[in-house]
Amino acid sequence: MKSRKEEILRAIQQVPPFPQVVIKALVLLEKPEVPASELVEVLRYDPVITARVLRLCNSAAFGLQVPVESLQQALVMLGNQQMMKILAASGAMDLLRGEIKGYGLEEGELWRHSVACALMAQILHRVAGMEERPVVFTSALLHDIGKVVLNRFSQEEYREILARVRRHCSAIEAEREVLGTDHAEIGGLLAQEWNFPEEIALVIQGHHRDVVPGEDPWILCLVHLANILCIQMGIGTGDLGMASRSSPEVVRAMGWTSRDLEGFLSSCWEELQEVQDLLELAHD
Amino acid sequence: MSDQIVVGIADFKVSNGKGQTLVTFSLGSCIGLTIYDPVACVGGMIHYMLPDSSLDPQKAREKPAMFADTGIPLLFKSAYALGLKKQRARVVVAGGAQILDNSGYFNIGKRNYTALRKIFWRNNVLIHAEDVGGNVNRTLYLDLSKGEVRVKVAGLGVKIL
Repeated sequence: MKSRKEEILRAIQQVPPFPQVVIKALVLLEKPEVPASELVEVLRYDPVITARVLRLCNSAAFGLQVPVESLQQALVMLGNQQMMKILAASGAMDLLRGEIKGYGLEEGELWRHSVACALMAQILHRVAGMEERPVVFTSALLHDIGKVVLNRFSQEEYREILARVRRHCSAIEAEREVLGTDHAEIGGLLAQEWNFPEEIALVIQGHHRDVVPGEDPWILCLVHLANILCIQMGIGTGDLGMASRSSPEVVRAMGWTSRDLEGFLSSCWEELQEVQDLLELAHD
Repeated sequence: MSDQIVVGIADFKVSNGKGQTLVTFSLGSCIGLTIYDPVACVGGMIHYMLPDSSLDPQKAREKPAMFADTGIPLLFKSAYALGLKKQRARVVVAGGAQILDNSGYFNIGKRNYTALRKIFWRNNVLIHAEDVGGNVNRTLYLDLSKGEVRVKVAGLGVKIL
């Protein structure tokens, strides 16, 4: 008999793939000087993505004053970094917007949580005086992608996972005990399967770990914290999100206080209001 | 089925509409507070996020329901305008949960609850029922027809408060 974990690993193959043109475009835009024609060339094979990218360029979330009508124009006006975030959101939306019953997340809730976490991770980098590389946005946006794979399995084992959480296990520990793996590990494997840059896979895979500043990269530490803060705010918390452990070392190392954390919650909530159109696009 | 009016995060609603139910989803560390006057049939609900508006006074002016100290008085005043009387009001509190943390950095839920207790103590308001703390996520309902308050906790079902 196959183990549960093997069954889950096979399920990774059945997840609709992340649009490869988006990954190619993301790699392309890493180079500082990219002719817009090259980006157009990569994306032209996926008209759905192209249309969505254009819609997102024109959404309030990315703040263009003048409506853009072509990818060339959008890239010139937004620059590589903004374009990379738009591409990541365009590619991830279909995977993240559905209902994830196994985690008690209604339709649109995981998407909302993912966007909130991406915004929060940017806020934390900004306050810490660190560079807001597009990979911060992208890895935070995708951190829970493993839940899409584990949804069916955690639904089947829901009662058992819940029982363990009630005995003061964290949700991710309960997942691991019952299923033999967890959504962070599976998400990391999925990112590798999709040929995402290693840094993104590492953040996804480690986001629930007891991260250690100084040893672990800052991007991982801050996405970990961003996730915890969004869970507390009640955004995409789902049934068992509050049963998450945090790593206070990150807060300590940054010299932040509880009140600073409250300020981050308030800023993130405000930014989230400004990207309502990005959130609603997921219902189309 | 009664009409459902959703109270979002950092939001509040008051109503005297019989047949309506006020509901707020996903109270993590946030607090949901309901008030209801059975004589006037007026009720209200707030879902606030943070304890203290001195964190950002400008935001508190734009969005008072984000903070306990600006939101709770606003909830009561708005309900008074519809005829609710404080001495008749039934007050119920839910939320203020914690993540698993011993460091104290993440005790926003507890601070949210303490802020509410202080405001109530200064203003002689009694809490009639509550379901606060723990590591759970809650949904809170107030049925305006009879003032019944229900709280739903994942995996633990629905409880009448």
